[in-house]
Amino acid sequence: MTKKDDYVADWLRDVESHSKRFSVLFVQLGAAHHPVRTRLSELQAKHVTLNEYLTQSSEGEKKSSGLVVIHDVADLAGKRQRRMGETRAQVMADLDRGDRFLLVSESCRGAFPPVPGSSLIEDAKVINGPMVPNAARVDSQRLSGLPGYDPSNGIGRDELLRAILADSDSKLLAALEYVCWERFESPRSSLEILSAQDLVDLRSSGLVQLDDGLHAWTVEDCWKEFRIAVADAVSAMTAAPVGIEDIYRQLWEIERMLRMMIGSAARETGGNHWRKSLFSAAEQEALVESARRDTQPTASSVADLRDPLEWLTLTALFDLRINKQLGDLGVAKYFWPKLASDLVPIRNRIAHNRIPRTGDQDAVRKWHTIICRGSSPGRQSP
Amino acid sequence: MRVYELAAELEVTTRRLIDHLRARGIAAHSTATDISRENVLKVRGDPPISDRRRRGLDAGQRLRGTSALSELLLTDTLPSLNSWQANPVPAPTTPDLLKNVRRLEVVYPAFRRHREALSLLGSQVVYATCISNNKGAESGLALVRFSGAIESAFGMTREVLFYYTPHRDLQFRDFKGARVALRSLNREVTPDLIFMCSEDERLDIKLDDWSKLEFTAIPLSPHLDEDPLSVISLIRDHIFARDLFYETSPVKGNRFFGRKTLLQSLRDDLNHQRVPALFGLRKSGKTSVLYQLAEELETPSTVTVLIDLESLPSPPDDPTPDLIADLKTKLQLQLKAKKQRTREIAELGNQPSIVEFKNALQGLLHRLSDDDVQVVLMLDEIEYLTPSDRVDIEEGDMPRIAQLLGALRSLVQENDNFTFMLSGLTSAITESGRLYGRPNPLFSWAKTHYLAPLLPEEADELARSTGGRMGIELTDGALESLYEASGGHAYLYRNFASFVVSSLPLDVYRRRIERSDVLRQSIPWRRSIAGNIEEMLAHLERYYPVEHILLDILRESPQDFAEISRAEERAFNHLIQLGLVMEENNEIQLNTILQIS
Repeated sequence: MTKKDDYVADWLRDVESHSKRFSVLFVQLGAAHHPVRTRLSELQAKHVTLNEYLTQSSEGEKKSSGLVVIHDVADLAGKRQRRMGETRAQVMADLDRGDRFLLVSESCRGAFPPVPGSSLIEDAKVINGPMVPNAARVDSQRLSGLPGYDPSNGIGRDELLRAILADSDSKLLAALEYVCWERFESPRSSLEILSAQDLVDLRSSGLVQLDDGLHAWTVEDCWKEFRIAVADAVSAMTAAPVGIEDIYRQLWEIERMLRMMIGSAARETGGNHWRKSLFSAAEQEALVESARRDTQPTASSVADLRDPLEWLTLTALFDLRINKQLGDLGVAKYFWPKLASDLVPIRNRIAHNRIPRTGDQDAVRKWHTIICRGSSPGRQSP
Repeated sequence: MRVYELAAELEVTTRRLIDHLRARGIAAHSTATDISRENVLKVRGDPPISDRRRRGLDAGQRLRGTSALSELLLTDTLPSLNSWQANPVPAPTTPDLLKNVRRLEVVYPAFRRHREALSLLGSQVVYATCISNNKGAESGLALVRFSGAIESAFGMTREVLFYYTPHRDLQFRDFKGARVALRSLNREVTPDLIFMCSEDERLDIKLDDWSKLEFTAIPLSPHLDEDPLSVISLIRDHIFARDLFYETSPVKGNRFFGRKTLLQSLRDDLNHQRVPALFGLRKSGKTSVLYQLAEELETPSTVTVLIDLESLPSPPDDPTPDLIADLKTKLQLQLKAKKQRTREIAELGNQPSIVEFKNALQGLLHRLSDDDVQVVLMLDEIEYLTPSDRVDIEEGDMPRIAQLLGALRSLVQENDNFTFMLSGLTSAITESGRLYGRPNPLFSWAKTHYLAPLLPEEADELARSTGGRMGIELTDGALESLYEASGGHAYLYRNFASFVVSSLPLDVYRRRIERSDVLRQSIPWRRSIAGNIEEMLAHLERYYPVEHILLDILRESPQDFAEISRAEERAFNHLIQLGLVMEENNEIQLNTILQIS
């Protein structure tokens, strides 16, 4: 065994010991820790794929299997909740028998779908892959602390960064895009902006590590290259992120509902002339110009537009409600500022074909429940 | 130089040397650990023995054949033998017991050595017997009462089983046999800890592999060091290595704490055929309450069926066929265990309609009522039937779920020996007038209970009792700080306690958590748990949207919150009941756990 490999043996011993304390462990062994995957066979454990685990029921077996390593847990990411539930139910039954579990995934924890109640993935103790000790690193780059860094085999800095980011969940990529390109943060300050869940995922992916109890980037000394790799990874993402269809549909319904609510109030206030009474002359001209450029080249005034509200941006729509004193429209008044501040940035991201961030889906779903279902306390009868 | 070589040179036991090395901060995992030259010199060059002797020679004085260094080691790392003898157990005098002890010593000579070592520690054998299996092999059982000092240090309160097996190649069935023997003893015995003795060379490894957190088997070598303090080291190494605070799965029995009032209310509801519905945050302990309730309801004439809905399909897929099949299977199993016939539901076809299922259950309940048998059904994780984050549960197209719940309600109303309860995250299922396009059968009918955070006294009981079983004492200040930091949330409280325990040294003989220990770990723990808290809040956002917004408002503009909370009375009440906000001195405050996120 080479010196460089010893740390993996130490890590495997830690895994064995953690499994006794925590019973269910989750580890992401993606590109940053790829060589470690082959060493898992050294664990005194039963090694199975997820499919094998679920089909080879251990029901009736009375003896504990000890440590069970399930190797392709990433298969549950993006799957329907039932599969997660089946797996958890089986794991819980086997825990009672004395089994312990190591859930090995190429994907980070954030890539797994949320479930209503107890979650196998969220409840598992996250452990991180090993880092190469300083003495065994091939060069002085911080990234060389990751076992996957192997320039002699063609996996240098740029290749490894690309591979790690290619493994990353879309929400994590969106978070990286935000700190690296939208906020243009320094490595240190960006760590204060990222959410706790993002930091958990960044640690398990190898991009962040704990240094004296504080988070630190493993890419701090190649931040410029990392930003470029993030930009490339985000641009290269062409598959629709999980949940985008729900976000899009619910946003569409919320916006239609808001336009309808504001339109109804405007009609009540302005009667048949509401189109003209609602907008100043300059605003009318701008609306007509928008319509002419798009679908109604012959339109000459707002009176020619079926619904001029449809030519307003969401922000302009919110402003209109306030400026024209159209009232709260059945939504509690203190919800309006939250509604606008939550929805406008998400709507803009989706409208510009960008990647939704962690929390976007939950926020849209929340407002959809309040605005569109109408039975929630926040949405009062107009 | 290896540990065993240095031990031989210094004429001390390897165990004692390892203790000494650890106390000096020198890593020593086993007798084969290589000790650096520098550390060997340090140990050889320890201060003159005579200086140390004056401070605590009594420690070693009563030991037979101990060298000067071993006496030194005792004073450095171990309380004296005299200390462990405090509050001794009187030696047995009953002729029957003495006869049984002698018999066990004949079958297992190691038992004599163990008994003598225990006796030097003020501890005595209080029961002994041999039991034969069907092949004539004899296992030995002895119950030991440890001295008051040992019990106090390691959180023991009852006799402990010492189990002797004749098998040189220990098998899992022997381990299970010991557990069976433990359960069969008609005495108050420590339920989660035994000593197991076998000639098997791999005894340590095997027991380590088979032991679980809630049941520890300490390997007892037949050739245990004659030094009685090696028994103490053995207990310490195994009891201190346990972390009983960390829980992965629901708890019941002696691992369940508090909730006495809630459990009483739920029992009353079920006894009076009211349908209780229990709601609480993620990881607040709902399933544990159901497990505990099922255990408390257990009588020969009560059949409790607990269904976890997580493995069933969920809307938009129809879960009712799978749910009915699951109900049928589990009900049959439970009834058979109570020696009851199940003909009415056994004769149901493979995919019965809801009406067929209801009629079959009706017939079964009628017959069971003649024998005074009660049936209680518990549906856990109700959101899998009503995923309000994904479908419109008021008007969505899944009428069979409403129909099935309606059938269960009818069965409760028509039979005095059946009721059911449900639990989940959100109370929407009992508060909404409509369910999947129909009148909601549970609306204003099921009785809602919320699982609030643990009360301070419940949390204290949990920490003291669990800590005690790991040989840990917690001061009042430590308990206060644990509660303040975790807001009394059951999972977070245990998690934080576990985090603090993991920071305690293992190479001491008295473990105590002070307020300062808790405070020192507070920030790293918060950092480690922040992701989980965010996940909990994401669940809140999914299932309690208005409440989530109220929390944001309370955080961002607390001055506006009082007025808003009056307007959103129901949502505000949810926040209070779930323990997320508290009203103190007319001031509304966020639970501490929300300040972590």
